[in-house]
Amino acid sequence: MRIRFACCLVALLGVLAVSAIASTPADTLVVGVVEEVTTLDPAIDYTFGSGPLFRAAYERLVTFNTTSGKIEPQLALSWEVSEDGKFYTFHLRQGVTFHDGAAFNAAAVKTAYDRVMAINEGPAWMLTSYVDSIDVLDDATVRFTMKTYPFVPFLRVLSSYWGMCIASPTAITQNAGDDMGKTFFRNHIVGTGPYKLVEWVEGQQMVFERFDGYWGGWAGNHVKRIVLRKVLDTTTMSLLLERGDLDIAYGIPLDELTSLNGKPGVVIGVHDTFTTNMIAMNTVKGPLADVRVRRALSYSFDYASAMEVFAGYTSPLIGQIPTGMPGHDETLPHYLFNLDVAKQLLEEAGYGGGLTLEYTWVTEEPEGRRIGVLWQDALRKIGVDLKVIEVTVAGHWDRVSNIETMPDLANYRWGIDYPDPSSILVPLYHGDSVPPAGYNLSRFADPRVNAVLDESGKEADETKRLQLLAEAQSLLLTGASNIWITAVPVTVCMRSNVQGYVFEPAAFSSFNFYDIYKQ
Amino acid sequence: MVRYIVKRLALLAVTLLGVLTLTFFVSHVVPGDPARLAAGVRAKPEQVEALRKRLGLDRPLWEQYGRYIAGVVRGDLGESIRTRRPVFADLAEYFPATVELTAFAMFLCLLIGIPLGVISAVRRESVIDHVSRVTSTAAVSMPTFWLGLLLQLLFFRWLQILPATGRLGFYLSPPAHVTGLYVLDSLISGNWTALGDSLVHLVLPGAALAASSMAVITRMTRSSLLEILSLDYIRTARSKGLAERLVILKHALRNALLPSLTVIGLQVGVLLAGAVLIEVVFSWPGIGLYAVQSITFVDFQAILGVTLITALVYSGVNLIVDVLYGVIDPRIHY
Repeated sequence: MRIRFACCLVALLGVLAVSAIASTPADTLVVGVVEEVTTLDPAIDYTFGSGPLFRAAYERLVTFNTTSGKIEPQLALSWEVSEDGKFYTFHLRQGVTFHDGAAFNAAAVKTAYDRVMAINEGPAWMLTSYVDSIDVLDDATVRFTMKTYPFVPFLRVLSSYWGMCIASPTAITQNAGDDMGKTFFRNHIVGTGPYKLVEWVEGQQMVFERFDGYWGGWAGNHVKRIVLRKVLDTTTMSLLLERGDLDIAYGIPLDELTSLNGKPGVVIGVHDTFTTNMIAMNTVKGPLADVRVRRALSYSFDYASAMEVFAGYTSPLIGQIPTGMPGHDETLPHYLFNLDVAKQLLEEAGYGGGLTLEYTWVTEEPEGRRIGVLWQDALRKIGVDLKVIEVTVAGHWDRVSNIETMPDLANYRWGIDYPDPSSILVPLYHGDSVPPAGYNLSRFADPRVNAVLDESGKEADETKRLQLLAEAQSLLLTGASNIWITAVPVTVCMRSNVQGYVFEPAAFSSFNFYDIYKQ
Repeated sequence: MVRYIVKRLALLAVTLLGVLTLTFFVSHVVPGDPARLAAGVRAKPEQVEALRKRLGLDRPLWEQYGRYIAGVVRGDLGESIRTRRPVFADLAEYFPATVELTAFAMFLCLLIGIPLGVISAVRRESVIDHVSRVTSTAAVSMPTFWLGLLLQLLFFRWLQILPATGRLGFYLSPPAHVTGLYVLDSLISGNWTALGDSLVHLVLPGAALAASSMAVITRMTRSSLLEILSLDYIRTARSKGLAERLVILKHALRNALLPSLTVIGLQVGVLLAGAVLIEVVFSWPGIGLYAVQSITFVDFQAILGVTLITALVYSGVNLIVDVLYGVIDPRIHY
């Protein structure tokens, strides 16, 4: 009896062992992600969680090449911009079909973008602010008439994942219902991309399979299937990668990487994104309304030591535009840690006797806490008492959107909407972008900065435009509206047999699935 | 009995109204603008206002409250601003996962807790009693999430015999949807692969979740059985020459289980609360995870929906426990 029981137990354990240890199949790429989308609708979604799925299944007219900084064709093969910048005419790729068999053409572009603008949620402002109308010239030619022009970064806007993914016109019209297809597109993806969605078990995983009719063809090395697995706990995610249950693990926190260091078959990847971390200073209320105090604080911040908060994986930000984005300028003057200068400036401003300041950081952006604590130590030496306060993302917006509740100092992150410096400088530093209109938390309003930014949006000559951007950045540094800390790095760790991955800071949460394969 | 149940159900409605009212107002005074969060921080003010209007958030609080309660009475729990669909659909999606997990944990609690309590009482001061006392103390004092991580480390990483996340393996599709409980659904559809795999996935989160409740049930069973075993009627039964097994299982245990029953009922609440942490550690797509995400998003309707269903389950279980009292102990009449 006991022997029989023991045999059964051994057999059961054997079955368990087989089912538990299964490294991923050769033709399937399993990606662990922390964040999951709550809607698949490209007209509504405005989260970083959509990066991987939209890139697998949808396409846009154009894409942004990070290495060259140039706009490249995707569904549009070529384009012309009228002299005054009023018309953008796109010549479309032929022979492209959607996952549901519908043909891609000029009408498809119009249908998809008209829907985004009609729904007018989330990312729609990127179209509604600039586009007046979209016209079908012929089957292969579509023309955008601009509302505000010239607006030089428009092609870069079109390269965004948010709002610019083109969904099937058949799916849009057939499932319009009474809500413009929101119910249908919440759960369905119908694009022209290389992979089509075959299953979404909410809260668990999404499965994509190769779309046989993809215009790019399937010659060469590609995977057949992609599984996006939601793994909330990052410690577990590390374990899964180490064991080979995941091919790629996205978003393991920097300080947890040590557990993966030197593990056989695991390649650790840390990359700087175009998302930046900063501290906004309240330039209209309290002691920080005095530029000398803001400069003193800028000198009191230990930029090099703060990089330890990011486990040393990144470097201090120079100017406001991160490395790799057009407009980034290494030659800009910038603040260096110097407590003597800081103390002197504080005395000049009449705060030699000491000062108490409030600093908030957002729960969901945990680097803010350590940055605050580090800074607190330095500030104490020059008589500044820093109160470090935690706020939720909801509480953060509540505080910063009202000048009465805006703290002296607010740590925050800013991720770009489209890969152009205007997507950082205008919403964060233009005088018209004071909340709730934009994200100019410091309420910095310098007429010259405004003018330069307005001009840079219209300047078609790239060299002249870069000069304007450099001027804007210098003015901002002089005005010391923020303490600019760094570009926020993300981790993309993978098994060593995964090949072909290229990191894209402009769309850091996405993957170039079509080019990725396993050896 | 029927009258009692009807009375209790009426009371239940009052309780639920109270819980909903409290949660409604508390969740509306916490900081955070749901319309802004739903639209995204980059959305333009007019977009935010349009969304606010669509969600009815521009109305006075009392009106919103009235509309909400009226909706609940009609069976409409409102729309989640985060997931963009009716809260009812969300609960239908996520609640079965929690039910499956807590039911499995409760099953483990009873399967191990009661027999262990009985053995500890009958063989008082034996090795097994001491071991059970030490492990119970450890299980109660260990934070649930930490135990979960330890179990993952041991069974998933080192021994490599059990999976650590989710309800099913990476390459399996869920069984045909009937109840939403994968174990039941795979039994119904005869999908044996899914059955085995979903059971295997239940083991670690179930055990981590069950541990502290199991300890409480073990200790409770032990102490109440010890108390009963010292009573006169047990001595009488023994002196009649009844077999010890009968004395314990038939005479003593039945009475000893009465206080345990209350504890078991209360443990349902403990398990539901613990599920929140366990679901995060094991990426278990249940209502706990849904609640956590809804709270960060100030998703009122979703928070209220979770509160409603949790309160309903908790009160329901308590009602069942009270009714069971009468069944187990004929002296109790309602």
